[in-house]
Amino acid sequence: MKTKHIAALFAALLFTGSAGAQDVLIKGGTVLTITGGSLDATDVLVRNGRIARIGAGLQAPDGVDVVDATGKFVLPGIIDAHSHIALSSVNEGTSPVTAEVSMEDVVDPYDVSIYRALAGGVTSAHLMHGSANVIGGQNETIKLRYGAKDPDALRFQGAPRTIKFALGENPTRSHGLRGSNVSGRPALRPASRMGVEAVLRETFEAGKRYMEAQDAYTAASRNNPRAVGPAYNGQLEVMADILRGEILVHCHSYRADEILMLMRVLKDYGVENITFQHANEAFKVAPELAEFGARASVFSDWWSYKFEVYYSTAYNAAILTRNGVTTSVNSDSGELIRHLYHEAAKAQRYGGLTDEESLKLITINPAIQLGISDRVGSIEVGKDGDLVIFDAHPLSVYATPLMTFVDGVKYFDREADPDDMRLEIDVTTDPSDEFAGQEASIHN
Amino acid sequence: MRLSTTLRAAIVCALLIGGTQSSTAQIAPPSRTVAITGATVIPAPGQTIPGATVVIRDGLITGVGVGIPIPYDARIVEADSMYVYAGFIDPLSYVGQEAPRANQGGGFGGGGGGGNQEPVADRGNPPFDRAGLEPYLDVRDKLDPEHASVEAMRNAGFTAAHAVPRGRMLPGSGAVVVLHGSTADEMILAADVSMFAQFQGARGVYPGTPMAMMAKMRQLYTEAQRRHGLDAQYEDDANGMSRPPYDPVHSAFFPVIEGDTPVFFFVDDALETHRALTLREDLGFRMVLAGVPQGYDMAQKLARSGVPIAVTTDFPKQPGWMASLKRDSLQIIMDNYDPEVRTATWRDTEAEVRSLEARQALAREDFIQNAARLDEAGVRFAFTSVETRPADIHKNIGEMLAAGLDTTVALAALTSHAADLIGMSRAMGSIERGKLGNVVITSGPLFAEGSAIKHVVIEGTVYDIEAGKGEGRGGADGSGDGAGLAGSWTLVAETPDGDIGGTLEVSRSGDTYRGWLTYDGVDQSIPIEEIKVDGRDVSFSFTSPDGFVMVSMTRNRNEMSGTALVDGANAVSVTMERGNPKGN
Repeated sequence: MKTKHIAALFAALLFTGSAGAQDVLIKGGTVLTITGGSLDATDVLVRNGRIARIGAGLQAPDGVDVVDATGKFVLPGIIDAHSHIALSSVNEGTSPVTAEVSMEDVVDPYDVSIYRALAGGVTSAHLMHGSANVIGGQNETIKLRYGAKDPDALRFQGAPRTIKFALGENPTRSHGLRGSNVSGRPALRPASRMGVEAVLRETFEAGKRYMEAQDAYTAASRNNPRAVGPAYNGQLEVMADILRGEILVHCHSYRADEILMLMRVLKDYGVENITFQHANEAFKVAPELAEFGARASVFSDWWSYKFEVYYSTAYNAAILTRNGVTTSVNSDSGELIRHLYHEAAKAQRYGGLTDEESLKLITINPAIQLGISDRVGSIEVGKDGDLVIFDAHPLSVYATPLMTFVDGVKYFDREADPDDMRLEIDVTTDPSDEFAGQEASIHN
Repeated sequence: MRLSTTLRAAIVCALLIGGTQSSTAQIAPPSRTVAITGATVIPAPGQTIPGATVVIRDGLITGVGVGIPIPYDARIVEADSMYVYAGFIDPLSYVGQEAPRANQGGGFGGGGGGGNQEPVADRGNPPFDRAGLEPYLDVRDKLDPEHASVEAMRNAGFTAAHAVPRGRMLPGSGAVVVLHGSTADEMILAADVSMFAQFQGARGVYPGTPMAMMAKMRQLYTEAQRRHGLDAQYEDDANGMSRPPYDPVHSAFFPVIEGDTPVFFFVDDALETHRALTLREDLGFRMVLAGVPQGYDMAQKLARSGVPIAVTTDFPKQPGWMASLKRDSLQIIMDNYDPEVRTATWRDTEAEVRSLEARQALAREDFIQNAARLDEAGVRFAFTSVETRPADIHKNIGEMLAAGLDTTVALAALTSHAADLIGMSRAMGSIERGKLGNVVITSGPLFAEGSAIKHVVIEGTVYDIEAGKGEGRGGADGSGDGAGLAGSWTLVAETPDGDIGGTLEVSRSGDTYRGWLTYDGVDQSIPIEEIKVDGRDVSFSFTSPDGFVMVSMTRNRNEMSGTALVDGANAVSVTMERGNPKGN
């Protein structure tokens, strides 16, 4: 059947490995290991999806593809700690607290943004709930295994659970002000930054009591078969898991005062693992963040898109790094995700970070923030074969990713990159309608 | 191309069977005994008895075979040269219910309620009816035996169906019905046979998005399991025990938890199918999947799951460019598709459009091959006509056959497998002694060119199907109708936070339009501005609490569809239908 032929062709384009798709030998490149320095003219051998050997003069085992990277640069796959690609919905904005929902349930493997990100050297992404709610949904860490159509096939197996919190104007606009002033919709908390803190404390308190009630029930049911437990509450189950330290918190935030506020709240509830997302004013409280052990995932130079993000600087990542805060640079965008290496380079341009410090912003540091640094984020024997080959040093403005590998499988090759890499298309709209007016605007 | 001739034949056959509008006349039965004589009987898929007789008495089949005695009181249906099949069964259907208006639940209406609703106190915790969580409702209360859909389905050879209520995520319980009767009760064969579920989010309240619906299903099921246990404990000995909590939603899950009732999950695309399978795996309930239009993308997974499936007979609407092409031309276009093409759009838009069209044709072909590819993967399935116009059912099945589906499998999907799927295989699905006297009599082999349905028999009542005069097709493109934009419109906007419903009122004076908009969550009318009408294209703007919104629609008579651009960034799709939600 013709369509099967097409499917086979797609598969061939996407998975070009021969014997054992998860094996590859990348020879002779400058290997930027991130954790072990830069190694000139070095080979990297990937077997069964894991980095098996790093060294000079490695021989390819029988049937293993060899890629000549002489004169090129090999970087661990880029990791985006804040993304909303490949999701069929982002915000369940109907309530200030929706801890029970999970992006795991709405991963969309058909999204062509995954392929575009691969073309920018990204191999893992943290798919986050939106920032409408104080406590939004649980996030999902994926590997960009484009071509797989089962959402489960993209899952980063073993990655810890994470959850999205949000402070400031997003939750107050979504639930507070809009409700009371404009639309006639009943106002909910939070309408102010005070309200955000109140919602956080109230929900943590409810989670703590739920956990205590469960523990009491477990203890009681040992002697009393007629003991009755608390009503099941999926939302408080998640809050209890945060309190137990099983879920890492990633919090949308901008202002220094609210960053300090959340650290106080978390300290009161014994929650230790926190990464502040965006955190445009984090540079003001960098020592406090370092002392708490909090991390930051920031934009390189994006601000002034609303009132609370006017006080910002392109030195943010550098100041945080030099104060000992584990910092990453993220995209939060299907466009920026295609050139995170440029975003990292901006931290060097403005903050004077070293090459290694800058590259850590998009490799090992986001891996630490997502709890996956034992698997990805650097080129080390035993780690996953997630690799990118650049034609120039990735911090050069001229650098272009040539090939991207996930688990040793090549998912992007600039030499085999047809126009239409979509997995699914709109079958009802006339293509000519989509082009209507485009020609005119191009020629103007 | 090997398909073209068979496809043409299939389409012709389909036109003759289902494509034409028919009218039926019920013949007053002088006796409830019927003998169909001289026919080629297909008692079950893959079996044939030439020159056979089928006897139906008191609504049940009492004899099938060659030369069996014909009762003295039987009404004889002479079926020489005709073919007799078991009556078709639709395992998931809205038969007997009014179709929803545009504002009533994204095409599923009912439980979700009408257009501009009162704001709820807490959008995160709305009343059950607003949330679309009404599993305690029963389709029996909504059935209308006089509804046109009953006759339309009968004309297409359907004799029984599993009817489910319209609504949102959990619309209620389904019942097995026969497609005749003078009251709703007379239609019922078995009630409360299923819990119906679908990923149809609530509008503006929780659960609006797929992720919230997933979480809500887990929440309801897990808590219902706990309450089920408490109820048993309380029944055993209430002394000293606090009264277990009660509400009708959790209680409606008890038959599912006990394993007596399956969840019939309607899934409308690949991702919804994965999600339903995930819920079943997490929660462990019995499930039947219905819809599954993209089963071809996960055939192995479906086969491994063992979940019974009712495959939709609906296909995506054809894009305009495709409609005018003959099958052979389309095949040439598909054969010449080059997936490795690299064209610079600005150099050659035409070439890129042609390439996209070819890809589109191939993608549509996947939907048509869905059933055949599921069969190839070893998935057993029935057909469901839900969301298919009755007149299109056989036309679409004809396309599936032309795309490689086996005719025996197709017949099983209409009969025996459908009976299995709804747990009624002892009573229907084949022509056997003791089963309901439900059969379809065709002028030739069911899927052959030129065949037409001549009679449909339900419990011994014979309905003669006469090819009636075709449906009048007035006003083709809808651009020149007099009413224009002016009037009342009900609208649905599909936002990331769920559907929003509302109304648009437009008045016209000369060439000047004025309009007002209301929608869920907004308590006063918002004037619309910059109203432009250019043929079928309609655009306007307004200022919402969320920012400046530009709306561009294409109108086709009494329907409009298009997009609203919020703050120049977030596009949401909008559909409108002429009419006022509050009883016109």
